[in-house]
Amino acid sequence: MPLSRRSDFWGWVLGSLFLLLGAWFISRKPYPQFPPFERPLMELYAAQDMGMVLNGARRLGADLALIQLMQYYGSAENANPHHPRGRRRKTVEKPHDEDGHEEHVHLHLGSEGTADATNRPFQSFPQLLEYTLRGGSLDPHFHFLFLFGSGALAFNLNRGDEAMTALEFGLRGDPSFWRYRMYQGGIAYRKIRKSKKPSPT
Amino acid sequence: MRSILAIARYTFLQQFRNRLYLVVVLFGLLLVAASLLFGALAGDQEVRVILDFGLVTAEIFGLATAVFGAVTLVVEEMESKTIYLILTRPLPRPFYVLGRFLGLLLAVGASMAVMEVFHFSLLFMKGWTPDPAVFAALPMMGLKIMVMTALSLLCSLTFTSAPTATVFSILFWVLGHFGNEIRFMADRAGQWAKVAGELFCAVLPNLSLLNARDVIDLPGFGLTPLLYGAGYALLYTLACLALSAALFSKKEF
Repeated sequence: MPLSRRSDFWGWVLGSLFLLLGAWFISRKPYPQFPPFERPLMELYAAQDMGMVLNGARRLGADLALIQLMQYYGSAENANPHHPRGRRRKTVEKPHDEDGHEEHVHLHLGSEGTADATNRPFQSFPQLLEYTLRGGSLDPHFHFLFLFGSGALAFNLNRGDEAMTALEFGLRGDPSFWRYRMYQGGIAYRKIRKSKKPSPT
Repeated sequence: MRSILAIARYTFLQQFRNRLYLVVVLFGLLLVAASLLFGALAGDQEVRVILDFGLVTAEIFGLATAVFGAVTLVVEEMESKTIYLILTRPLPRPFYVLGRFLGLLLAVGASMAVMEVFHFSLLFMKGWTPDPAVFAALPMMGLKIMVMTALSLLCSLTFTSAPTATVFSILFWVLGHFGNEIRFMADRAGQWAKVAGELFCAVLPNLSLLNARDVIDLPGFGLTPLLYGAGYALLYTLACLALSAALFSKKEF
């Protein structure tokens, strides 16, 4: 290689290193970004979620997670935790009542609202919390997802503790969003009201 | 300057005549239209899903045209020996690289613009209220693709085969979005790992800095981070082009 071409080569290389240094310096400036994605929360969708994270599409990943949550919550098979075609946790325990008999859940879609009449948490849709947290781990600012998931858990399925977990997860992502606090207050009030209600004799 | 523009114009036309480019753009448009189906599944969040799906589709298909265009741009000319026709003229080699890069960037920009026009017409049809943050995110998508075009061009000059250059370009794309997580893991692995992780991230393109479309709802999103992102993209692209010029000036034909 001629000398002039060799010096050209090293000149370009040196110049590129300076430019790279400048770029690195700028990249250290604060920039709004999501917290690091630690791990996929659901094994079933791990590949999908990782694909979204690696392509810089966490918002879209959360959108798809919401669609999948709604499909899960809208499937009759998932309403019954013991349905053979329903998606459920591998370690789900069969609920038993006080007498030791297995509880039979006959919850039909659209009738979850009747949960209000009783204090007992419904065992239907056992993975609803996981679906909510999964979407929230991709986009911690997805308010609708947290409100939808926690609302369904608390007011339709009587699972206030799980709803509180979802809301706390949401609050960690966006502490300034006041409606999470309002939902937490609503769930707490509902719990207190029920505990004070005299039991029918 | 005129020679750079002539090469850029020639590259732009070459891309438009490329069947692969047209097929990718067509599929991109089809997928943007498919966002309506996903939107319908999302209930109240229909507009958000259409918005996000369209933006990601335009970006991914823009990336595909950029990477496939860049890795074949110079390699094909070297294989067919048509590059001799240009390099035998009194044209500095860096000008050739810059002209090719600008032409390809224009072609990719045009394809993304077509997809985005279609996407926004769908959004307006669905009653979307225009959000300035979304419009601010659009140029950042273009800058991200600019960085990737320059990086793919560098890969095509570094590696001898187009498939290897494509694989490395895609790897840089993936790692570029994973920089935040790499730093997070390196921080927990000890002092040396932290230094190594920082060095690694300095060399990798920090694409999360340009990922404005994902963080439009986050607090702190505004003009200042966008300007930082633009500055970063410009410096990183120039660094890649300088390295490409260095490699190209060393090449023997």
